[in-house]
Amino acid sequence: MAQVLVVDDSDAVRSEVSGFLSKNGITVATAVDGKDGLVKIKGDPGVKLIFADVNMPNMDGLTMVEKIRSEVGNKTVNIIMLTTESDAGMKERGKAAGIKGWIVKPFNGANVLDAVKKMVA
Amino acid sequence: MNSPLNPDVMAQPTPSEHEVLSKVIVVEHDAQSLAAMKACFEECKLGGYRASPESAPAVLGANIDLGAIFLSEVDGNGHDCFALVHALHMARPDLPVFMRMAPGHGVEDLPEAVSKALAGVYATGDYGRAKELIETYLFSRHYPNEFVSEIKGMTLAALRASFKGMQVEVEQPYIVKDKLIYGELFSLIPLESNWCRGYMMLQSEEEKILDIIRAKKTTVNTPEPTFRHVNAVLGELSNMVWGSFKNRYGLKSLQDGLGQVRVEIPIIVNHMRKYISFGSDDAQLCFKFTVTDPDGKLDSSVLYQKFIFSLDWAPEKYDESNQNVNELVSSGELELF
Repeated sequence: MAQVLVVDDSDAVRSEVSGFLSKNGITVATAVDGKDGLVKIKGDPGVKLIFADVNMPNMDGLTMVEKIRSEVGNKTVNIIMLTTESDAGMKERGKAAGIKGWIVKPFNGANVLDAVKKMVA
Repeated sequence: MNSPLNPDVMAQPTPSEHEVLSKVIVVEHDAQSLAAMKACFEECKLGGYRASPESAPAVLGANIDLGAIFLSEVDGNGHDCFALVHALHMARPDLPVFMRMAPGHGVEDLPEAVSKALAGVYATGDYGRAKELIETYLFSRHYPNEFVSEIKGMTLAALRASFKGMQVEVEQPYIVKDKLIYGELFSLIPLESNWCRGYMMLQSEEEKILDIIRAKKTTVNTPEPTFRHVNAVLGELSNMVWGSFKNRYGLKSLQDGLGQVRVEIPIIVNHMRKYISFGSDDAQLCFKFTVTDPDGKLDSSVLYQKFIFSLDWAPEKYDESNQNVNELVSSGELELF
């Protein structure tokens, strides 16, 4: 069972985020796009936090978030979008789906570690 | 083709940091004409690689980021350069070739095959005409300095985030007419705003980036990196620049396009010739970035970034809309809701 699920189509981002979290004692699973993320969260409902990109093939991150809440029925998992996007409309859509936060790439682990630890505790 | 020769470099112009240059090859034996050309190039923001008729094909073959070729009608021995014009044009048909001709000579005096290969001619001493040709063929497209500065800054930030602990330097931006591909891999991503539409291309060499990954100076952490990890680094780098561009300049509203014909042009890639055409002969904006290991253990890696606004380019709208552009987004910070 993983504490954090990292959903990003970029191998580089998955590697960076999961590597950083693992080094800090947090167990991590990864998914390559929104569809894969849905499968992973269904299979591991104990995940406490999801880092999700927005622009991904097959299913974008915001659609995945909405489906996690509606189709999967998981209302509690914390979700942080990790993306190059900073569009206000996208953030509003994310907020409406109950995301907890937004990070514009690049990922800076030191900036978020405290918040992550609280969310997975 | 990937490692430029070191030809005799003519005096470089000294423009401001973000002013756009172009690099040209000069085949000129006459000292007086050469001195006049240097003054002309200084004024027109051209940097020249000087070559002899014998070395010109090799200098051309070793440089992929050129704007034009200048040569004289005859060489230092009084022999015409017609065969050279034809050969250079056949080797790089995208580059405009300009010929200096003796007073009283005109394009009508040239063999048809030569005149067809030339973009224009100018008489000895007539650098007003030479400047017209430069403006027409090289600088017909204006890239606002502020825009150039902004996209350079976005890219430097993305490169520094991608290559950790490496030094990243950038040369003076310049325009190119070449359509040649540098290195073994490139990324291509559409860019679009209310005043521009086209592509950004990032070109690089696989092995150099692979070495940086092996040295654990990228975000990729894997014991056996392969070309797929190089793709991942280049892909994410492109994504970050694209995101910065989009956040800064916004996207054209889909509403604007409803009911209008949306133009698309096929992109042609010739793998054998390492050639890519976006269907437009407009000069492309190019940045050359060099990623260097401060410890000196790794070879430097070069990335060429080209902007090809082949589908829409209206810089006057940039000047208008620049007052309302979005503030640069602070990246890496968690915004909690």
